[in-house]
Formats: sequence, C-alpha cells, structure tokens
Amino acid sequence: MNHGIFSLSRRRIGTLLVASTLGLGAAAVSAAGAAPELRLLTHSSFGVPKPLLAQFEKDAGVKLRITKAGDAGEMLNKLILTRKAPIADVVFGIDNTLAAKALAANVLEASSSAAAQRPSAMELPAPLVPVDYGYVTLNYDKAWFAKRAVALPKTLEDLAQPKAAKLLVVQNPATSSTGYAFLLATIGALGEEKAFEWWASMRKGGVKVAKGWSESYYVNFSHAKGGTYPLTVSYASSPAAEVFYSTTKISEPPTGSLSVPGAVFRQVEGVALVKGGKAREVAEKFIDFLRSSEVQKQMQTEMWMYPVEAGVARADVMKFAPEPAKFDSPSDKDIADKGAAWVARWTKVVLK
Amino acid sequence: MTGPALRSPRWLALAPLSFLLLVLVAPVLRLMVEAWSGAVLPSAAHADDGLDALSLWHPWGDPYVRWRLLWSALQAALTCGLVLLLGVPVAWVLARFDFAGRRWVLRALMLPFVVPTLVAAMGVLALWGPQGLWAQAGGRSFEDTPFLLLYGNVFFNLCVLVRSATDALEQVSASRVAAARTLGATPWRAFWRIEWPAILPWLMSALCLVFLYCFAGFGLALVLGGQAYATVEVEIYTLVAYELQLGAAGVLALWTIGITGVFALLYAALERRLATPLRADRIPRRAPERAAEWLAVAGAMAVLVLFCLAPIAAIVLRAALAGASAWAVLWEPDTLQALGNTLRFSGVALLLATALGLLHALAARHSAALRALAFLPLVVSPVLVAFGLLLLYPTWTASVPLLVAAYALLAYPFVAKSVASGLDGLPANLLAAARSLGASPWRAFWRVSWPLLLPALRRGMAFAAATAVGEFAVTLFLSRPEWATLSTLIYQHLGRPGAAHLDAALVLACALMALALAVFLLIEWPGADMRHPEESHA
Amino acid sequence: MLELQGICKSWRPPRGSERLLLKDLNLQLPKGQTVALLGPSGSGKSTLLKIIAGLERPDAGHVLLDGRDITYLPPEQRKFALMFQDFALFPHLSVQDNVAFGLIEQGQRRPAASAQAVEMLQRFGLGSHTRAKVWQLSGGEQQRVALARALITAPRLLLLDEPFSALDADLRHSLRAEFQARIAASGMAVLWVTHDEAEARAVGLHGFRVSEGCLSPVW
Repeated sequence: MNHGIFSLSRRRIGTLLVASTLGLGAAAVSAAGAAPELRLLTHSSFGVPKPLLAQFEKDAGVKLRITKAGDAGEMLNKLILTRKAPIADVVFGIDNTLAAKALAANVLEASSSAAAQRPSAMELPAPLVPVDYGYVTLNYDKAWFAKRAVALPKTLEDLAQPKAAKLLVVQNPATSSTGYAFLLATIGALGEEKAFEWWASMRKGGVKVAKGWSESYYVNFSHAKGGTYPLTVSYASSPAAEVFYSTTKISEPPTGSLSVPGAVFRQVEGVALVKGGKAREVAEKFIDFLRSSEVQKQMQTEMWMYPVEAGVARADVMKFAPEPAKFDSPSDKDIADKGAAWVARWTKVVLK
Repeated sequence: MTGPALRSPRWLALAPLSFLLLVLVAPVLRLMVEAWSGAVLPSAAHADDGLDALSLWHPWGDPYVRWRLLWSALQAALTCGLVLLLGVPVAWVLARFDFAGRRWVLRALMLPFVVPTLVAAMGVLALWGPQGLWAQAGGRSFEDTPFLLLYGNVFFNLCVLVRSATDALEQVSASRVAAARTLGATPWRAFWRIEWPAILPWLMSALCLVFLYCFAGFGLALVLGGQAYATVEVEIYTLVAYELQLGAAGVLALWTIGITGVFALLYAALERRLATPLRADRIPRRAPERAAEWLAVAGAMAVLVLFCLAPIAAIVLRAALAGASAWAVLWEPDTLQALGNTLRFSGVALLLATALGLLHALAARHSAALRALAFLPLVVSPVLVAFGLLLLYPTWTASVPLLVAAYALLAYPFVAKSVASGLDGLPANLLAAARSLGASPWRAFWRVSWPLLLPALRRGMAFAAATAVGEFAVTLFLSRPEWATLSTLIYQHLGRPGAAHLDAALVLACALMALALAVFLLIEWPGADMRHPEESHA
Repeated sequence: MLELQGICKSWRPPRGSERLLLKDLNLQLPKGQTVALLGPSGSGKSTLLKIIAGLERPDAGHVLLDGRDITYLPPEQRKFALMFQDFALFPHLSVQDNVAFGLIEQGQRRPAASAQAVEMLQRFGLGSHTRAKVWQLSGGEQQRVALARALITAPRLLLLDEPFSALDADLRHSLRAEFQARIAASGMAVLWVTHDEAEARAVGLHGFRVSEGCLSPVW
C-alpha cells in the first residue's frame, strides 16, 4: 500500500508531538516548584558560579529565577518599560552611566541590607549598592605592533593622527554600553566641544565603528585573526581573560591594555531593589550575597570585574590586568542631563 | 471557478489570525499607545533639527533617516536582482539534471539561515576580509564596502530563491516545452517563452520574501557593511532598545510596514492570478550527458560554493583546526542543556508553525489579503514585537509559551507560503472527483489534498525549522540562563575575551549546523514524491 | 428522476462585469436514460454539471431528485458520479486504490473494497494494471479506470463532462461503444456533455443544446 510516506510522517509527527509535550511538561513541572521565587533581572554578562548560587538558594530557602535582558542599557529600558508591573524583584548591572536614567525613571528602591550600609571603595548614587567595578580602556594587539615596530599612541592627540585613527575600532555608544563609557571618558577629559572635535578628526582619520563589544572584539580586532584593527576599546581585564581562556599555556597576555589619558573610564556596577517588586527580604539577602567575600572573589574570573569589597584577595590571573591609575568622567549631573544629547551628537558627528 | 462546496471554510483563518493578533498586533499596538501617551520618559522626544520627532513626516525630513529608508529599499532591490540572476540558472541545473549529492546540496543550501550572524560574519571575512583568502591571493579587501553587504545578503537569501525556483521548474509541463521546441523554438527561447512565465509566481513569492528579509534585516549586513550601510531596522532597534524613544520608533516602523506591506500585497495579488495547477507531465531529471551540460552543473555548483557554502566551510575549517580541547566543549553540561533546549523549543515551535501555516494557507486560498497577512511577522520589526510582548504580558516574560510563540511567529510565514504554492498547484478536479465519490470535505482533504500537499509542506517546514533553530531575533526576547539555546550559548561565548571562547563558539556553530542538517534530513526524508512517484531515488 | 427547475447562474469574474451563464434552465432526466448536452465551450455546460453534482450552488432555482429538493445537499451525499476530461485520477494512489476510493467512503473495509476493485478492473480488462500507477496508463486506459471508479459505487446518476475530448478519434469511437454498453448494463441515468454532435447523437436518447444560457431541445 503506498501510504508509506505519509503514514511514516504521521508517525514521526506523532513522536515529535509526544516528545515535545513531555519536554514542555518537564519545564512546567520544574517551574512550578513549591519554593518561593526571587526574580533577578540582569544583563547578558552576568556570571556567578552555579555552586554559589545553589548555596544561596539553599540558605535563603528560595528559588532564584534569573532573567537576562541583553545589554545593560537594554536591560534598564526593559525595566523602565514594565515599571507598572515589574518583571523582577532585584536588578543587577546598572552602572554609573545608567544610574541617572534609572533614578529619573524612579524604578529603584532603597535597601536596608547590611551590605548597603557598609562603606565601599566605589560609590554609586543611592539606592544602588555597588558590587564591582571595571575600566573601559584601549586594548592593543601586541603581535601586530611588534611586527610593524609602530609606536603605541600615548595621548588622545596621537590617536587623532590619521595613521593612528585608522587602527582603532570603537563601539557605537547608542548601541553599546562599552562605547558609551568610552565616549564619556573623552568628554570628561577634553570637555564637550574639544571632545567632539576630536571625534570629528577620528572620523576623518578612518576610525571603525562596530555595533557592540562582541563585534568589535571578535570580528574587527586583529587579535581574533579576522580583523585588521590592532586597537580596540575593551576592558582593562581583557588581557587577563585572554591568559585565563587561552587554549595553550601562556605566561603573557597576547594583548595589552593602554592607559591613554582621556581614554579610560571607570565603570561601577551595582545592584538594587526594584520598586514594586516582591520578596523584599530575600532580595536584601541577595544583595548581601553579592557582596559576600566568596562571590566577590570568584566574580573576578567570571565577570572580569574588580571586587568592591575591601579585603578580598585578588585572583592570581588579575596580575595581568593592573588597574589604570587615572580615569576620566564628566560629573554625574552632566551625565544625567546631557547623556542622551551627547550620544545623538556623536551619531551626527561620526556617522551621519 | 470553484464553487462553495470546494472552498475551504473561512473559519480556518480563525486560529492563525488570532495568533497574529495576540502575539504580534496587540503587543505592537500596546507599545504605540505607550509611546503616544508620552508617559515613558520625562524627556522623551528630543527634537532634532527643530523638527518634531513624533510627526509622521519626520523620517523624510531628517536626511539621515531618509537615507536609511532609501538605502534599505535599494539594497533589498539590488539583492533581489542578484539573487534572481544567480539563482535561476542554478535552480534550472538542479531541477533538470540528476547527479550524485544533488539532494545534499539542496539541504546544505539552507545552512546560512542557521548560522549565527557573528559566526557567519567571521566566515565571510575569513574569505573576503582584509586577512582573508582573497586578500592573501592579492585581491583587495571588500570590508566596509556595499559589496560585502550585498554578498552577505546573497549568502542568506540565495537559498530561498533557489529552492522556490527548483520547485517551480519541476512543475513545468513537458509537453508544452516539447510543443514549443517542435514549433521552432531553441532551448533558450523555449525557456524564455514557456518555462519562465510558468515559474513566475513562485519566483515572485520568493523575491518578496527576499526583499522583506533584506529590507528589515540588520544582522549580517550591519556587521559586514559597517554603520554607513545600516538599514532602517538598526534605527528602529536603537530607538526602541537603547533610547526608549517609542514614538519616533513607531513612526519609522509605520513607514517600514507601509513600504513592505505594499510589496506583500502586490505579490499576493499577483500570485493568485498567475497560479496554474499542476500538470501531470513534468520534465524528468536526467544525468548530464554532453560536456556542456557537465559544465553547467559545475558552474552552478561553483556559484553555490562561492556564495553560500564557502563561508560555512571556512567556519568548519577553523573549528576543525581548533584542537581537541575546543571540541570538548560539546560535552559540557551547559552545551548539552543548550542542545536540549534548542531541540525542545524548535520542535514545539515547528509544530505550532506548521499547524498555523497550514491553516492560514488553506484559508487564504482565494483571498489575496489573507495571503499578504502571512508575511506580517516579517514586515513588523521584531524589536517592536519583543518590547510590546514585554509590556502587554509582563507576567509571561521569559516563559516557555511566549518564547515558543515568538519562534513560531517568525517561522510560520514559510510554511504558509509553501503550502499556498502547493495548494495552487492542486488540480481542482481531484477534489471534485473525491467529493462526488462520497467523501465529505474533511475526508477529501485528508485522502486527496493532504498527501499531494506533503512535499510542499515539508519544504516549508524545512525553512521554518531553519528559522527556529537559527538565531533570528532570538537575542531580543528575554530568556533565562537555563533556557539558553545553542545560539544564545554561542553569543555567550562571544561575549567574553579569550581564544578558548572563540574556539568554543566556532565548535558550537558547527554543532548547530550539523543539528540543522539532521533536522532537514528528518523533515524531507528521501522517498517518493507522491505527485511524481516515478522518481524515488535521491 | 432528476429535475432542474428554473436554474439561474451568473459568473462574476474578478475583472469585468457579471455574465449570465444559465438563464432559467429547466430539464428532466428520467431514470435509465441518457441525455446529451451540446454546446460550445464557455456556454455553461460544465457549470450546469457542477450544480447538479452539488459542487456549486445556483443563484436561483431548484434541483429535485424523485421530487425531493436536493439543491443544497452536499455532493458526497448525492451519489452522483462525475467524470472529467482530464480523468482526475488520484496520482498518489494506485489504479486499484483509485477504484476502491468511493467504496471506502461508503464505509467498506479496505480489504473488501480492494477485492471488489480488482474484480471490477478485471471486468474492464485492466486486471493486469491493478497495482500500476495511474500515470503509467494510456489516456484511454485512464478514462476507463475513471469509469470503473465511478460505476463501482453504484451511483444514481452519472455525469460526464466531455469525457473523450482528450483522446484521439479511433479511441473515442471504441471507448464510446464500451461506455454505452456498461452504462446500459447498469441501468442508470446519464447526462453526457460534449461538443461533438456526432457523439451526442450516438449516445443520447434526447439531446439539448446549451446556448446563451438557455436549453433548447434538439432531438
């Protein structure tokens, strides 16, 4: 009987249906656990080792439900959009560039946890509780520069020279928090008018603009064997990560971070309670958890940020990521008032 | 003309239309309501050049945005032209000649759909970039030129046209072509006057899809072409996701929907008019005999390799060279979990998309408007949908049903389009015969239409599966780490520095492609095509 | 007995104005008789057949079977078999399965239906082709299979829509004789639509011409 083919497909569709219902059922069952939930909203770079999270869940008697919402800027926007029916109880990842926007939108609440009361080396406007910090700075490809015996740029003026500008790839501050941080550093160092003049000359010199960090680092940066740009905007900790994640044992990172004055920005990330969220007490416990020494120590090799808590040992590999001595930034008030306008102006100056 | 007894009941449209309403229209409208009530941010609309950013004509007043809109349309049109020029000869070779590996070529063609954007960009640059093979052979780098962007578009979209055209060419009546030849037409004239008009509806359907993808897409094109050649979709994405300027985004989106909607309607209207039923006497495939024919086959394969398969081969090569430690990532619990998630979500999404697409095609048989509506998911910007869903259904955020619904939304136009073409090809008399022999409408569908529709359905399902397995817009929707799919896992790896992460991403991309090929094989299991069972070999 | 009363049907094309195809048509078809319908293409003959078969609805008028109004009865309940110019055999089923199709719809089990189909095909002289695919048969053989498929369900009425137009002259002649014999043996009423007047005169006890939407008796 030649119903062969379509009875075969009927059977196959049947098995697919059964398999997927089982799969969905399993998901539903696992989601409908008896323990109360703590909803955490964070960006896509969030990383705390699973055993530590599991330990927290056990200690607090709660099920941790993490929602990753893309880039930090996207995440904040999603939080703002849903403020009438908040999708999380606690949010991690709002940094000093976004703090003003978050405060203006009134989506955060003050925490009374112990960690919040403790002083820390870094400050964030209340109610954000600082958790970690990092530096956005230039990275360079050592092999490229060594081969061509070209001098590394030392100042922003050096970078603005045509033969240096075309070696740099930056991220679009409209679509990348890394790029935004870099823009703020240049404005902090040179002042608004001179900074945009500098950007104009960078554009003339042929600076490359990428959408985000992943694109610039893996597609354009020459270290990744695909791109031609030996200079990129990245993090001070990236060279350490290169050593940590290298495929062969290396004793020196293949890239280095440059401390060019005016091209370094310090980013402080924080955690805060979401206004209108539930599970208040557990959320406070989570804030304490993030500031606990174990998490702060392991955060270094998971998120590649420096711990904020005093007295936490530095990870060994972080010796390849020395903290830059100087960094620049406009005042918090200026960031709050003019941040969006600066991005718009940047788009006009560099892209349009 | 078909009488009421042979028409599919209109209520079939209920399910797909409700789905579109719930998952697409309502969220976007809700977002627009939020935007125009001005309640989002205190300093929402920053006026640029003194123009009110919320006015309907703002996009045309701002030269930057105007350029974006025009460029989006221009590069989409150019891609359509290129894809047509390259795709029809290739499809002709694949439809007329039989050679070893033909079926695998057809399957491998769909891999570009599955490859994550960043990985594809790496593959393309490995060939054409400043450090790529072409540059090393002495050619100049194409980076940051519109050519690379067009190449990226062709890379993704060639398969859509080739598969459509292959289907179409297989339907052409042999006797008609033979008649033309005996009346004095050369093979080329016979193609031009007989085959070309016959395949036109299929080609137009494919070109419409290609146009929509290029106009509204921003993945590979953006990475390869650079910011100067970004499409209008990038603007919308930036406005919504990063600046929360919903009003301005809404205005742009309206224009985008307007322009693409016109195309979709045009195509739908024309397709209905031009559709001709299946002829029983198709031109059988044969092995190439003369040298010229072998040359044609080689040429077609060369085009496919150059435009579609070479970047993928570059990725596979780099992954293969990565060393055993990199391949160990396949056994990590994270990877296995991601694999399971990909299978689960894609499987359920595929079933949902198939059901919706089937119903939609049946209901849209005699309605051009309904046919055009099947393209709606591709016409509306996915970022608007994602944010709208967030706003409208906050309690369902990052839940499996919503995630699967989002996947199904993006995948079901393929099934609908393919089944609609299949339905157009069904001879009307078969259904009439079945009905007069005593079969109720449902029985006639099940026993006569369904088996004859299966090949078209399977082809649609293959594309839907490719969309579901791939990463199209997947990063826009909120997700939990435990629901990471292979695509999100690849992006996670590419979010951190380190050679190990790069290698892991490449290895995972290969795994993703292998999975996709397995899914294609499963869906289009080689076997008899029920309409033409005389060709039961691959 | 089949009766058509006042059948009217207009054709509404996508472009252009409405055209009246059938105007107030009346027809009576007694049991066991063959009636031929003549007329050029586009005269509405096929539409009339579809209305009788239930595949289309008239704009006005009634279709009566033995006095009962069946105008709105669905086609699968009428037991009127329809035969087409392009044979309309199901390509995905074998010859045998094609013939057994209607029996299965009537509720018979597959083995019994197949056995009956094989027997029918043997009586038609197509016993060697039972498992063949329909496209492997010649045009004449296909139309005979179509007839077997129609007759095996013991329909009340057989509607033939230009059954031999696709076949050559010699074949037409021999097939016509065969069809007439089989139809006479079954004793059912037949409505035979054709554009060939000689054929119409050979098969139809009565003949009507369809033109300008009206039916006019010829013999």
